[in-house]
Amino acid sequence: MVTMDISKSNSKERLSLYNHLMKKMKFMEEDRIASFKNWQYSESDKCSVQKMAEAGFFYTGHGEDDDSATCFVCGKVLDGWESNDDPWEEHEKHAPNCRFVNTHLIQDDYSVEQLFNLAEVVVKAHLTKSFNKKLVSINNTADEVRDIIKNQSSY
Amino acid sequence: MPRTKINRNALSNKRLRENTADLEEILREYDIEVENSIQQLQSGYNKQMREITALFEELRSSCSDDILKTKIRDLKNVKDINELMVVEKMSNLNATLKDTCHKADEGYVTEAISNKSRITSGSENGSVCQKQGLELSQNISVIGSLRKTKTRRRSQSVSSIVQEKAYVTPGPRVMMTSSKGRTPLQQQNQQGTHTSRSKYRTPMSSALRQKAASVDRLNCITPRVNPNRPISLLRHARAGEAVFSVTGSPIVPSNICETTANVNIPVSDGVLSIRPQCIESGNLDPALMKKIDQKTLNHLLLLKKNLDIIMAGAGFKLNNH
Repeated sequence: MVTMDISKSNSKERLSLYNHLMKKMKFMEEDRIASFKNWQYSESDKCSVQKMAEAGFFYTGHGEDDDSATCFVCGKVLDGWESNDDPWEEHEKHAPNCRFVNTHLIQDDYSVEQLFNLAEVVVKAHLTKSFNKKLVSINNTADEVRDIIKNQSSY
Repeated sequence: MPRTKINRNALSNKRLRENTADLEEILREYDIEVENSIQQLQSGYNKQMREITALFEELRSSCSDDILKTKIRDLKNVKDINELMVVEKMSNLNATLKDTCHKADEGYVTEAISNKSRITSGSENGSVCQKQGLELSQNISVIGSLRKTKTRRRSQSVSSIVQEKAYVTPGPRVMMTSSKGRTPLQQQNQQGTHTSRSKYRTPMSSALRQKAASVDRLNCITPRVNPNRPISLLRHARAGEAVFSVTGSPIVPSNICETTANVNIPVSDGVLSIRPQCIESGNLDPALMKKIDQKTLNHLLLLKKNLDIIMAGAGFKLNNH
């Protein structure tokens, strides 16, 4: 969950908070590369760690057999990778509306302004996701409680 | 002895009805509770979204265009990050001062401003403007009647005033244009042609004479308002413009941008406006200080740093004298 606690007065603390958030979201390519610790494909393969990270994926698998990778912008999770899968193509095929894949740019080709814009989109998307999650959980709990009350009334 | 028979079924039905009514009431109350908590969540979400928007807006505005357009690849090649930060700080200050010149000049072309604008017109990248901004910060003068008297120059020929008034284009455009873009008339002005005035001349015409600002001169206040009637239009005061409260109600000159705190330092030919992106705090009452939220304090800290930079420049100049 994204929490933007910007009330911290110390600019260093604020900076470290932003750094922490960005690392958590795997916003920078370096962080995405670092997430692939035991990736089964080598650098020469089409879906190498470098290319996966360039295409916006970071590793979210649990265990050795799980090769799930998630996009840091759209949150699309893909697994079942094969050595000749092109991460960009797969990304575009499965998540055509992703803001990142639509630009067809790797991180180095982004301008600072474009990166800021992307960061804004990513942070807002995370916030919206956590908001929707909470909303669903409130509604579910409310439905359960209503059922209990209704059952109570039928006795 | 017979007694009235109480129908047990009816009694239990009544109890059941009451019970059902109670539960419906509980259900209704619970629905309201749920609705409230959803609304709270929604408002918190909206607030956070606004904060994020403001944060990124601040981030973008705190970087110069050059930095914003730099590719990440090139940014990685910058060895000394401090170098970049210094450039960024300078360009920030530059932008502020450019903005200040723009605001100060808008529609209030005084002789002094015209002169400054003409000098700055020679600068192509605005660095001269920045230096002047530092100088200007020392020449803090009083706005209003005192400023008007200060700008009166006895040796000034009438014709040159007329020329300045008539032909000098507003400041920001002049400032932004290169030396090639100047009109012949401006170049003539710059050469310092001093046309002698006629021996017999009428005193300064009423149009040119600058009246001292005073509360008594209500005809100077635009738009003219009748305090007893509702006002149909709202106009914010511009930078450097005097604001009068006709009936004595408190006023805050939040003229430039309501969402940004700013410090307006009156200088000899306008107002030096230093504005970080932050909300307005304006009162130094200790009791009110506690009410200032942390975000504003952060912005004030930024403001203080900016002021320190300016004062450091001013102090350097003072020491030289």
